[in-house]
Amino acid sequence: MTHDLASSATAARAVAPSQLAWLENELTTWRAAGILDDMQAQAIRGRYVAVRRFSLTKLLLFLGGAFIGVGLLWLVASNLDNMSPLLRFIVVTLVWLGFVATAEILAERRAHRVADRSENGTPVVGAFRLLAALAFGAVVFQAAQSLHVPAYEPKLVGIWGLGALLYAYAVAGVSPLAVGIATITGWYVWHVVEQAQDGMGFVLPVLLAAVIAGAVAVVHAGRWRPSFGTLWREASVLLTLVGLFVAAFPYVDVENFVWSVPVVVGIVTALVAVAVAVVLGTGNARLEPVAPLIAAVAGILLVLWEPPDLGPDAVGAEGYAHALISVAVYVVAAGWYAVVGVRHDSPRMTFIATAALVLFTTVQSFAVFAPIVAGATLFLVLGVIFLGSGYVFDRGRRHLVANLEGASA
Amino acid sequence: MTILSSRVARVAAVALVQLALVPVAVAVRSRPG
Repeated sequence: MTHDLASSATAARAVAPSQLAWLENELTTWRAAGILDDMQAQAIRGRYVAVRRFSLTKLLLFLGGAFIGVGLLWLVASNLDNMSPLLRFIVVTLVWLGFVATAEILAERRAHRVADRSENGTPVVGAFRLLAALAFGAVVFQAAQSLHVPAYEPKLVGIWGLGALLYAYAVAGVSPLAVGIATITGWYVWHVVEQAQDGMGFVLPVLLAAVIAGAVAVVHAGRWRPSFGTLWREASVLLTLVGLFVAAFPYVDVENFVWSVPVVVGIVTALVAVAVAVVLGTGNARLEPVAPLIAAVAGILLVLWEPPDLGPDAVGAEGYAHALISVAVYVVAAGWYAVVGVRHDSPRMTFIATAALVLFTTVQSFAVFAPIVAGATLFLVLGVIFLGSGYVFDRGRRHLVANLEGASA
Repeated sequence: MTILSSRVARVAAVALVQLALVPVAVAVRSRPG
């Protein structure tokens, strides 16, 4: 028996302390109910060991990966005067290929693979794939620098994003996908803003990107690489909330907006993506791609609606209406995403939605009420607004969660 | 071994496509105007 316990202890699975606490609690209940005897409970408990180190390792590896990636980009950005342009490009390309090869060699080695035989490797592999995706950006920018073409150009970011997305899908890596989504979105927004240079020129591409990301997430969900679906969904949530956040400001409006080719292509792509996602989705998932679309329409209307400017110390009735409706739109959007986060067991999404709501309420309150309410009164008014919106938001969330649980039971 | 060879082929193919994208990025920019 001692030998059994010892061997099970050596093969103990590392779990999070909270999971172990839950298990211990359950074991006590089972023992009390007579389902297990003490020996069995002890044997089960012996199979697990609480490990907190894992997340720290992960953090360190990702931080290390990000730092080296940023450093590499920086190295390229600052001039490497000692080398010829061609040699610089070759060095950066070799570094990139080195990261790609290292990631795949590590992923191939059994010791570095996760127990569930999935193709996604451990955090080490993830960190190297992150580096490879970042290093590809360095290759693109080094090529531009070596050929003396301007590096301040959205197309370079676009090509970097395209390359990162291709790489992410080829190796099924979540970390390069994050780089890919961020860069390709950055490229599109930059591209449109450059031509429009007004509020709509920022809000519209962000919301369109959110619609497309939401549709891609639905197509992924439960079908092909669900972990990719999660990331696309989170990107969609973040973009929707950022877009609506900016759209809600009274001074974000339409001044120089032009119907450029990328805007039209973006709108058509977004509508097609939503249609495809609705057709491919099943059950409640059909609603998911429609939500960012509704949010996009609401955001565009908020930008188009420009309350009259009554000077710095006054807010007119229309100004209040604009603020209240934008708050209402934001609360509904954040609430919806908090619920979607609960449905998908994604605390990260619920956190994004809640944090965005808090930030939004703070900024809106200061933007609208600060000019007319002074000092202590301002804080009292803000406190009441926070408590009120927090209470309504939490109540609504719980109500919806209870309904969802009731429906699934 | 099959996994290895297909993985190597996939990664090599995508790296080549990525490399081919680099001149596209630079060429578009170096066009006059």
